[in-house]
Parts: sequence; structure tokens; C-alpha cells
Amino acid sequence: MALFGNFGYLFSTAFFALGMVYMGNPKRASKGNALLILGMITAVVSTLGFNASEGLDFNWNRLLLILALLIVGIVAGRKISFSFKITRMPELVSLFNGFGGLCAALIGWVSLFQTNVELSQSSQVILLLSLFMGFSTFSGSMIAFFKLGGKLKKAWRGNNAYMWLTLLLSGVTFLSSLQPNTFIDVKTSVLLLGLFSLSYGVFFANGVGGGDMPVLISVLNGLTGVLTTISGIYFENTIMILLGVFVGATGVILTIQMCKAMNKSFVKIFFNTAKKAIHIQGEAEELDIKETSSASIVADLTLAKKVAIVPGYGLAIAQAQKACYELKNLLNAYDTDVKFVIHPVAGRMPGHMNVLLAEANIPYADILDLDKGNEYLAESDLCFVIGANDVVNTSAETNENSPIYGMPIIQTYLAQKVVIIKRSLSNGYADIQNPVFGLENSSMYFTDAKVGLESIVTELKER
Amino acid sequence: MEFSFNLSPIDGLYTVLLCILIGIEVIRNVPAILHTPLMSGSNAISGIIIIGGILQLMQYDPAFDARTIISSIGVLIGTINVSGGFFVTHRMLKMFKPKKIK
Repeated sequence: MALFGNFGYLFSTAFFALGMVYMGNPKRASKGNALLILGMITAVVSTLGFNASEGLDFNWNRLLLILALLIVGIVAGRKISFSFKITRMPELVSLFNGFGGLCAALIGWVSLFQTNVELSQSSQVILLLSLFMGFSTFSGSMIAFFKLGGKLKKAWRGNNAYMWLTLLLSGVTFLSSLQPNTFIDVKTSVLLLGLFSLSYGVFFANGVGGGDMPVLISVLNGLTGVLTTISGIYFENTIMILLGVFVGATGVILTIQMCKAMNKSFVKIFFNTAKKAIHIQGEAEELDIKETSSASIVADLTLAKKVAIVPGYGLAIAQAQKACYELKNLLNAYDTDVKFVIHPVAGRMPGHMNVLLAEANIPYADILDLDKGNEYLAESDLCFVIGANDVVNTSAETNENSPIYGMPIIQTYLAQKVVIIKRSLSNGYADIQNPVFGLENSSMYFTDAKVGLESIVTELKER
Repeated sequence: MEFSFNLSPIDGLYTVLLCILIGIEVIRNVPAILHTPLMSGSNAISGIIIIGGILQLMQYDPAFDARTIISSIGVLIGTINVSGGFFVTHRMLKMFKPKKIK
């Protein structure tokens, strides 16, 4: 019967591998997700089946307990995932990611205090590591969750110092949990390690600013993957190792892509956040701001042949994606081409804007990435910047002192006219003045993105 | 012929190495529009860690103690992660499907 478990894992691995391949194709992604679910079910059933076949004082009560937990968990997970609006996806992802971390930490904790097995030194290291990483991923993800929900905005003073301090304390308690010593007994030490790792996660995540959120989320995601691998090594369980590595790879690759898109090094984002806002403020220049109104925008729109829309996090906040869709349809009816240009780090998680636009039924053929988008912008007559700021900031190209210098941007200035829909002249996340606002061909339309777009749509309809 | 569930350390290393290579190759080719579903999907499958909790619950002596409770909480939370992650992914992917024009 051990055969049952092994073959179950084999099938499960095949489902997962195929599912991951399918997830990379927009047309097949739904099937891919179904395959992943199938793989997960197969893996759990084979684990149960394998254990049942061992026959060692098999405990039916425990099986019932596990089944009950699985059912309750599935129902609760479904409820949580449907109780959030689709636009709040980044929050949900980090919430669930935190749950994964907590689960790993708790399992590691229990394994540390088994009475029936003598733990080797290396097992102890693995378990303590998963305890540390699990708890810090949990608290880090919770912080990310609250930050994305807008409940937590400002970084605390001395955040970096606290981060290093808690990391150091975690290291010390890690060692003292490993080595029985006279100062502190193992149980207390492990408990302290848990507390310090929790606070380390808080400071780690809190040091990361809103604009770097996509990186933080992919890093946390990758961490749970590594965590799963580590636990898999302890449990000598192939499928845990395999999937852990898959998830870890996702996290690492997305992190690298995000960092590249921002031209920022990983270290800079996580350990050097305090500096950047301050040193640029001194050099703010007067910008020549021109205001515009919906009437003149509509006049320009009727003449335009090619229109580009650059969305950002502000679009998500204003929930203006449906208005974008209406505007696009209306303009398409006038034979005007409308394309959306999306910067890789626009929004608060990798691919955030794509999900948002997909929700509003905008086909992905109309969505361009950075390179194609810039080519398109060079030919377009009008460009809307809606709720995006740093990703169109030309100081990334021109000002060597700028903290975002060298970041590839969406070159909105290539378009004949640029209309920036924004509520105020405030700076973006990186807190740098945006020279694009003062360019000769750009004008500002100060309003809420949704209200603004809707009034443009209504006036356009009246024409 | 005996089928063993256990890996020798070198087998483990082979597995990890091959998985890393395959994982990187598969994920590198995912287009940007699928990054969010990919993340929430991989988030869900990282919840496979519940297998560890299940193994713990199955192996322990029948006594119901603090460890049992902690493991159970672990499995419960992990299951929420798994099912929640898959449902979120499903919801997102549903939007990517081509829709009929009214």
C-alpha cells in the first residue's frame, strides 16, 4: 500500500507541473488552476492513504479530526476570498500568504517538542529556521495586508534600527535554542525566538514603502516557498520540497523582474529606505502648470486618432477601470485607437493593473508593456495619465540625483498631448517632483479619476 | 521490491536542483498579465505545508494535548491558505476569459 502513496505523489507532481506550465498561458490558465487544485487534492489524499496503510496504531479519530479541519478550512477560505472586492486582490494575496507562514511556523514548533523522536542537530536547525521564517513571514504579510488596505501609512522612526535589533535578538535566541545552556532553558528560548521573529517581520515589512509593495509581496511569497522546502526536507517529503522550490522560484523571478523594472537593487529597497525622500526635496523647481477642463479634453479627443492611457495605483483607488472601458468603447466607435500602457511596477503587486483592467472587460490585446507602449506613445495624439506618477517621472531619465534615476519609465512626453488626471499636485510615493506635469505639451485635470473620466464620457456622448 | 518513501540526501539534492531549473524555466516565460494569478496560485500551493501538519496529527500518540491543538490550528490555517488562494486565482482567471460582446 506504500505504493499507493508514492504513486499518488507521482500523479500529484505531474498535475502540479502541468498546471504551472498552463498558468503561463492566458488561454489555458483556468485549466492550469484546476490542475493545481487536482494536484493538491491528490497530494493530501495520498498522504492520508499512505499513513493509513502503515497500519501503526492507526487512529480514526485523528483522521476525522483532519477531515473536519480540511472542510472547515476550505469553507472559511472560500468565504474570505469572496468577501473581498476583486480590486483588493493584493491584500488578499498577502493575507493568505501570511496564513501559510503561520501554518509553517506552528508545524515547526510542534515538531521541535515531540517526545517520541530524538531530534538530530540538523533537524533542530531546520525546524528553528522554519519557526523563524514562518513567524516573520506571517507578521510581515499582515503588515503588508494593512498597508495595502491603507490602514498603515507612515513608517515609524528608527524602523531600520529596530529591524536589525530584532534580527540580532532572533539570531541569539536561535543559537540558545539550539544549545542547551545555563542562561535560559530551551522552551523559553524558542518562545522568545518566536516573539522576536514576529517583531522582525513587522519592522522588515514596515520599512518598505508603498511603491515598493510589488517587490515586498513577491519576496514574502518566495519566502513561504523556501519555508515549504525546508519543512519538506525535515519531513522527508518530496512533494513539499518540489512545490516549495516552485513557489520559491516564482518569488525570486518576480522579485528580480520587479527590481529590474525599477532599476533598484534588492538591498536598496529593504535596507536603505529612510534616505531617499529627504535629499531631493531641496531642489524642487517651480513647474509651469496648465490646467485643463473636460470640455477641452473632449475637443482634443474628437480630433485624436491614437489615444494612450497610462494607469497607476490611483486608478485602483478611484475604481475608475469601468469608466476607462466606457471611454475606450466610445472612442473605438469613432475609429480612434485606444491602448493601455502598463509599467511593470504600476500598482501594488505584480500584474495589479492587468487584473484591474481585465475586471473592466478590457481585452489584453489592448494592453501594452513598456517597450511596445513607448513605441505606441510616439505615434499617439493624446495620452492620459490616470493615477500614475513615479512611473512617468522624467527625472528618472534626466536628473542624476533623483532616487529613481535610471528606472525605465513610460515616456508620456512622446505623445502630442499629455493629460494628467490627478486629484492634487502632490508627489508620488517616491516623493519626487514630477517634471512631466510642467512640460509644454502636458496639462492637468484636477479631479477624482472616476468622476473626471465619467464627465469626459458624458460630454463625448453629447457631441 | 521495496518501495521506500524516504530520500537519501543526494536524491534530495538532485530533486531540489532539478526543481529549481524547471521552476525557473517555467516561470520565466509567464507574461506580465498573468503575474497576479501566478502569484496567488503559487501562494495557494505553498500551503502544501499542511501535509506536514497532517503527518504530525497522524503520527502522534493518541493523547490529546497542546501539540495536537497547535498542529490542528496549523492545518486549519494552512487549509484556509490553500482554498482561499485557489478561489482567488479562480476569480481572477475568470475575468481573463474572453467574454461575449453584448
